[in-house]
Amino acid sequence: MSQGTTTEELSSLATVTSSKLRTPPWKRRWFVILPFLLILLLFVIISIAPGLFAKHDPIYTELGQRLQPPGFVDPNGLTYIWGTDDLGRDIFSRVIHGARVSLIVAVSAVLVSGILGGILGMLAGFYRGVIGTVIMRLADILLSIPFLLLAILTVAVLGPDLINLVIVLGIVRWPRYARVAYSATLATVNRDFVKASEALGARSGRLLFRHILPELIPPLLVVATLEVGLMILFEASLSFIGLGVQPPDPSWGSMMATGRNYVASAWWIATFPGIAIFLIVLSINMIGDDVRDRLDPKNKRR
Amino acid sequence: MRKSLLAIGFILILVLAGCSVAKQDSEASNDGTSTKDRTLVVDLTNEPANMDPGLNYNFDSFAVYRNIFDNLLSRDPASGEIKPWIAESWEQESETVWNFTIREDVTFTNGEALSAEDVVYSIERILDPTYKSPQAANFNIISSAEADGNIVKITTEQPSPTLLTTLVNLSIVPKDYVTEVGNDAFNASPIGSGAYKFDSWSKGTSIKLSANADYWNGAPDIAAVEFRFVANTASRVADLQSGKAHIITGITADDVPTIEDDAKLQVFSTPTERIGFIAFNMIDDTPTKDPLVNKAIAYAINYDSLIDNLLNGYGTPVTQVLTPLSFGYDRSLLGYSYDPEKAKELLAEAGYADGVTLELATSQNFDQRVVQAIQGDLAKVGITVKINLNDHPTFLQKVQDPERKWGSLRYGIWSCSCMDADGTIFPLFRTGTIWSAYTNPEYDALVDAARATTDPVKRLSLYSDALKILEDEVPGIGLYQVHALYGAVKELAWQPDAQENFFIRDMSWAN
Amino acid sequence: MLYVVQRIAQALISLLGVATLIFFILRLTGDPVLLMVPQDSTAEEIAVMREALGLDQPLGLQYVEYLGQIFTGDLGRSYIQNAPVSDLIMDRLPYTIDLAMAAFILTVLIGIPIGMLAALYKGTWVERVCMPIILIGQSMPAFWTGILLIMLVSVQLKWLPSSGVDGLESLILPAITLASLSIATVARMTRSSILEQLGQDYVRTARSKGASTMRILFRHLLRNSSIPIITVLGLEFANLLGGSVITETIFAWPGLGQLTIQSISARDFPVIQAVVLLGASFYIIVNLLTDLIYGWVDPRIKLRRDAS
Repeated sequence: MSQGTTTEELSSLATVTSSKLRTPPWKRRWFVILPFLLILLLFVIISIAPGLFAKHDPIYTELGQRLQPPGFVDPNGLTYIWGTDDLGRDIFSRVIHGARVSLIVAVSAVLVSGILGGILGMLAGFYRGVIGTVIMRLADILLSIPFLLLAILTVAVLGPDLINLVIVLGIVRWPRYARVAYSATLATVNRDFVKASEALGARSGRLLFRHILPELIPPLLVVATLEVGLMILFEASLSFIGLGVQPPDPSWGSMMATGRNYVASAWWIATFPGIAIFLIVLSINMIGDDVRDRLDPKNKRR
Repeated sequence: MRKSLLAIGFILILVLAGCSVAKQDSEASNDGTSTKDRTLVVDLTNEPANMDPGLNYNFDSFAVYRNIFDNLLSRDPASGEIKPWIAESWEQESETVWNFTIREDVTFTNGEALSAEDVVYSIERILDPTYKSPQAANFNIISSAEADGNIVKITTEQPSPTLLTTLVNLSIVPKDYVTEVGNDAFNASPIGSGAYKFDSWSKGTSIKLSANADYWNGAPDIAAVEFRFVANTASRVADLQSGKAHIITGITADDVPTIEDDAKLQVFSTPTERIGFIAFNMIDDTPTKDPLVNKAIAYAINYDSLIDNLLNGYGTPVTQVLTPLSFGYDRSLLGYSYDPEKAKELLAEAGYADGVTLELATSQNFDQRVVQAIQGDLAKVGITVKINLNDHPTFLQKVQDPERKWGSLRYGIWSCSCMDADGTIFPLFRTGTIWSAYTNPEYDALVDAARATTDPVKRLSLYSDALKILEDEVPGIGLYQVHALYGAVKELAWQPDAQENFFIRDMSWAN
Repeated sequence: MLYVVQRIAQALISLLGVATLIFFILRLTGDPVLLMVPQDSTAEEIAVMREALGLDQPLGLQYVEYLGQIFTGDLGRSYIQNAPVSDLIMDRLPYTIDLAMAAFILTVLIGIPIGMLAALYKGTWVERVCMPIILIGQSMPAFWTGILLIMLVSVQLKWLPSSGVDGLESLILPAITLASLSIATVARMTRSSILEQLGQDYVRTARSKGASTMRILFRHLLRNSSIPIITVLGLEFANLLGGSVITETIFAWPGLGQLTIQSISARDFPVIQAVVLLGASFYIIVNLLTDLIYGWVDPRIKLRRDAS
């Protein structure tokens, strides 16, 4: 009894291409994806070991060298290849360190909402009745409230910090996974092998975890690949408004919020984080597309 | 297929029709044959909440409605001294009774004469609890106001040294008109006695005023004014550069070079009574309960660098949590200066030779660059500062919670248009106020006494003693006196004042 | 018929749920009174103000009153502006609708053709040009698009204004910013939908009969793939209305989004409640209509849903 389809659901179902017109995914030129995989790899490495790349301390303020353009060399001979921000901090180092924040938030948020939503959706689809109704109704309600508003209000209640940010994103996004898990559970429950198991006396727990859950993973993964990029964008948006990562810790979103006030005088403050966000989300979307294509059942039917 | 084309066409028509809604016939700021008749375009940051003088408490609202209404008293822009305005003279009959004589040549723009009754009505309106005025707190000291001919007799509950400063901010509304049309209609169509009359308000876009030719103080120079609301600073600066606006407010020191580099533009600035300050939590169990720690922090901050680099020189150092423009400022106090070695010494003396971590509470309403600069300075003497940034409502709740568990220090900007120590160091540091995280009975006695007498000599001496206590115990540090900054076109002549009044009647075209 | 009633009942329950959720979350987020009073107020003065606004009553009582007001269509009075909320909303709504409509038009006029081209000319250079456009739209956060446009078009080239509502030219940049994600989504949807149709047998039949691509396109493809496309369009329109918050902030567009952000900063509960309810209602209604149309057009869907 779900309320209606969402754009994401339709998209996820429909990034399919007809198998008759396309070469099968595994034969497609793999090197198209390669540059994006490399970017993603670079992103992960930077997140784990920012010190290898960032030459300056990202939070050290030096008011005497505020707003310096890219290539600035200070009296000690140190170069700031992407310039400094409004407190004299090195932009390059801050972008590097900001990668870690984006990665952590995106991955954690997807995990939290994915697991929460997946389990709730599965339970709703399996038990139906009151439980099912309540869960899906709650999901509908959460989906109807504009995300940004819900996020702002929740952050206002919990306080802005990294963990709360993940919680907020998890709370706001789980309905998307729940919906998918719910429909998939409904579809699976009627299939022969499940009914057979039931007839043989399998307990609910076993049914759920050994038979139904595995069937949910592909569609949930599809949603997850769509969501990772979105989570990075959302974290940036919240930080942009000032409710995400707190100063002096760098976050691409808050750097762009600062840079917005200096578009005419110090364009580098907003530009480099912007390019970083774009590259990462683009890579994730490209790779996600590829994963979705490979997972698509229509392509498997041969 | 045809249906989809039809549908799209229909939508297109809707949009074009809708766009005509969005089209504003903004008076072209640079048209008009005579420059004297040019409409002045002002870019404010926020839209005023409403035009009702009693219901407002922020700069953007003041900037607009104080041109429509007159206030009871005024201040001399240069000396800050309180001067007559609607009240042409006053005398203090006793410690608690004041008589104000009202001018008899003032009329509201609907023709009605302004009388003592209107003044009394304006006061009572604010004090009326059903009216929900945020200014009620300021006027609470008045126990009654009566009109007798052209005299307004005001009685205060106890002797009030700040009554006059409060009355400088009392806007006079027309009693007959307001009671006749009701508050909502009055708000939609305000009528006052000021130099300008209200023309129109396009919600979200602009408010237009035009000159009151019959103004009792002489018709103003500028014929018409349009206030626009542009939230983004960079956009306001862009408007100024492109000629869309003639004067903009809410700029920071970082915008000054851009404006000064442009030959067609100028910057107005003046020191104000606003003060940037740090306040310490000396009630909760935190390291800042120890005055030694606070003194160390006072020595650790590079005030000059803050002012020169962050504020581009648009700030003045202070030696106390008060500006020289406020009554009670004690010039004999030396305050603290930048001395990081001394800071480390004091920290060690306090038992924190290996450093300490402190929590700083702040809100998005305050300049985060200053917060981060403070954090940077303190890091250099071994103090790690953890910043807790919340949005303003959450910040207020946290800091005003009686448990006082909001951390160790906070940065803020304080302003009291009263320009009196009573409006600053009393609410900030006296035991029991909603802000104070400090308690000292001796201090309390001093500031209590200073607000209970109208004798300026006595008050100065009481405040001097009080400020010395503040200097010893360091519940707070004064960082800098804020300078107000405005960007404008070269042809505009104006002298901004310390109270940040935005009277268009004081502006004129210089050519 | 039962289906229709069921769906409407669900929609109403969702609305009630939204109203309740927003009511309670708001009251957890802080105290509007503290923001309204002068800095040097005393605790007693604050209490007086709180009482005047009715915020000192027990939560349950406030909730019941709130529900009652909604049922009578009374949206309350803004704490800050002391004016009826419905007035405030009506002042701002035209601006948001203008922006959403402009973005919607861009979405339709740009998104659908790009999707079609990418599908029909698969494997050629046309697709290789269209796909990146789609991907870029999906990968740029709205605020970045907005800032970039301002930097390039307003500051450097000085072609278009960066704020304000002076006619059509001020609408362009915000509309593009708002539409970027929508265009990408709709283009994708169009592409997949058409591709799916292209694989069907009837297309091969038509081709073998010698029909040209264009003819196939207009006579068959668009009609058959229209349902998912229209669904997406409907949902995107709802999204545009709700998603304009950031765009309105960047371009100082005086719409509902800006009103909401300002009201959240000021904890103006009545306004926030009304705007959220409005946005949610719109979203729920669009979903409801889409479902009903879907169910009417394709009875199989209805049956499948009923079975669940």
